[in-house]
Amino acid sequence: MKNCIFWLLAIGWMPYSVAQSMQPLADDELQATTGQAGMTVSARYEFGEDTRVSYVNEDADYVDTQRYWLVIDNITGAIEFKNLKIDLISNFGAAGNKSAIQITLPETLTYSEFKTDGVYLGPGKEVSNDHRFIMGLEIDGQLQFPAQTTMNIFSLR
Amino acid sequence: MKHLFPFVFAGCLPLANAMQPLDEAQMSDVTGAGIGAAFDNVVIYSGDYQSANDFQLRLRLTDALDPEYLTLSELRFHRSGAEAGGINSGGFFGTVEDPFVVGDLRTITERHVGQIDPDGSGNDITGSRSHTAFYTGFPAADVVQKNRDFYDWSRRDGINRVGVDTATPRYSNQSTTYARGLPNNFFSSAPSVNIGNLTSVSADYQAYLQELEDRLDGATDKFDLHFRLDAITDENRVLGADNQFLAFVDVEGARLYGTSTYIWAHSNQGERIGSNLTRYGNNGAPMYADRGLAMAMTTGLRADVIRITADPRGVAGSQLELRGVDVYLPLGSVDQPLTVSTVQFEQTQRYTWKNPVKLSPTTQLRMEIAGLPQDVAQAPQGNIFIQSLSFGDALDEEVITGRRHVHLRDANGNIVETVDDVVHRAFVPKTVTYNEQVLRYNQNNPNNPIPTIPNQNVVEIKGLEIQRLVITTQDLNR
Repeated sequence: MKNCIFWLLAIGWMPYSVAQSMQPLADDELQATTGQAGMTVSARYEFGEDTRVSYVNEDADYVDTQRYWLVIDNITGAIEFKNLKIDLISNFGAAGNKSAIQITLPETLTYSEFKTDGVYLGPGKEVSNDHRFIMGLEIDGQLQFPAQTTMNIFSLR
Repeated sequence: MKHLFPFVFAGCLPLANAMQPLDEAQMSDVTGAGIGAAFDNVVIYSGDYQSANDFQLRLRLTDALDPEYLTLSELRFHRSGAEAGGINSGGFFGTVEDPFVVGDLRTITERHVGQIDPDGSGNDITGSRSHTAFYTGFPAADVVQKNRDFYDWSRRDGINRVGVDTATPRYSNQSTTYARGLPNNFFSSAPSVNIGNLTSVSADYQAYLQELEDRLDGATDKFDLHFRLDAITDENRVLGADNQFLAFVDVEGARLYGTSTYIWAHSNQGERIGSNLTRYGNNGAPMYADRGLAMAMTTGLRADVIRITADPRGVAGSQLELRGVDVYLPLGSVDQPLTVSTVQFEQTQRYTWKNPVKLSPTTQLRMEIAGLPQDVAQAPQGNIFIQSLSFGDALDEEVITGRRHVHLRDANGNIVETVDDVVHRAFVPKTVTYNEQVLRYNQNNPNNPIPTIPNQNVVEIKGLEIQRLVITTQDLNR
């Protein structure tokens, strides 16, 4: 968890520290990076009790002055994936000259009692008696991607 | 965990303080930026329901100690015809030339003409408003639907291209033909029938339809999808899986075309709660109906088969199949945005509809497609074509409507073979039955094949337009 906090902090600061110097790479520059950025990731995310996502539109101009929150309450369980691969390639496309980020989906995606108590709508970021229950969601079990499914992402420039 | 996010996002504050929303003119300058994606070897697999490698997605429908569930499982998605879950069962979805597109900013302009203030100066002029929209498109998003009504297609521009009568007028003293599009008496026992240009026009029609398939072949494979639905309710909670089973759903040979979504922010594009406000609390509050996030979604689907099986052991008689499906449905447009909002709605208590008891207003979701502006006059049209329906067991006498001779004709309209007592089934057009016999004949006579004829559809819903649509949710347990 400490590692997780470190990386989240690092990612949070990243836009401020590097935004001034970021420039899009041209296709020929991207081609030069092929094979240098590949990595394989396996990970497991566990959600503790009381993990909650609450959303409100602060700028909304409602007739009713009451602010309404969308709350995904008490997210628990775990999500685990194995062998997600990320690489930069330059030989994509029919002509074999397109640069892209290539993501090879994990072999398996496993949900362990991943669930939320419910999605609610109501006045406040925490669920109360005044919140309306919309729907609950529970996911359990394993999805397999046995054919090394790849997703190639590229700019439309 | 929840205390972490303020620290994380604090790092973004120096940037956030400087961020300002772009106006429409500034947004237009960034139009065209976007990301494309192409997928290869796409296959998803999960095991049988309640097996060791299964996958279950459960929607909890009630907020109670013993909730009711709708469960989706046995999710399988792979290239059409391949073995589910096999390492060679993947298909491609999108290419560099025809990718899945997300984040493309496009300018869309209303056809409606009104008083607008394009530069925000307070000086109105007459014109059409433009919006900068966030575009998402599936491969082949620019493809439009083909006309799958041969009779209509062969008579376009008022010209009967077949050259002979293809529909008998239904006057009281004339017989009625149900084979519109084919020369009259085509299915009769007459040794020779003048079929005019049917053979060449039919070939042209097949080529016309094949253009779509060829275009889609370059954008995506056909895919098969399978999943199982179960429902756990108070009535079956303690019973076994067979009693909780709802259906298997199978979609075979399917792919999307013409499918895209535009999302934009709008203000006052004609939506309103309506004149009858008595059932909405706060005069329709909390959400203004005429401003917010707007969408225009179009979906096109071609599928060889859509099958619903209502028996857990897959008994043929429990199946309903839709064959030869082509659905094209626009939902909202730049002139008629699709909006989703929340309202305080006063619903009628269940089982009191004869003497309605109105309950206190509660927050509900509402989906609305705005009214069609008068000067636009024409909403985008959708069409649904289904070539035939099947009820599982082909030999079930309940679905056999009769047995009649089928007279197979060559390219000149002459009978070359008569097949006795061919089974005809409900919801299967005569043309489909005829073509099945043509394929059998051609297999037996490869050196003297005869032409198939354009298939008719058992379901044709054409020119679907939405003038205005409002859907407000209600609570089932109140």
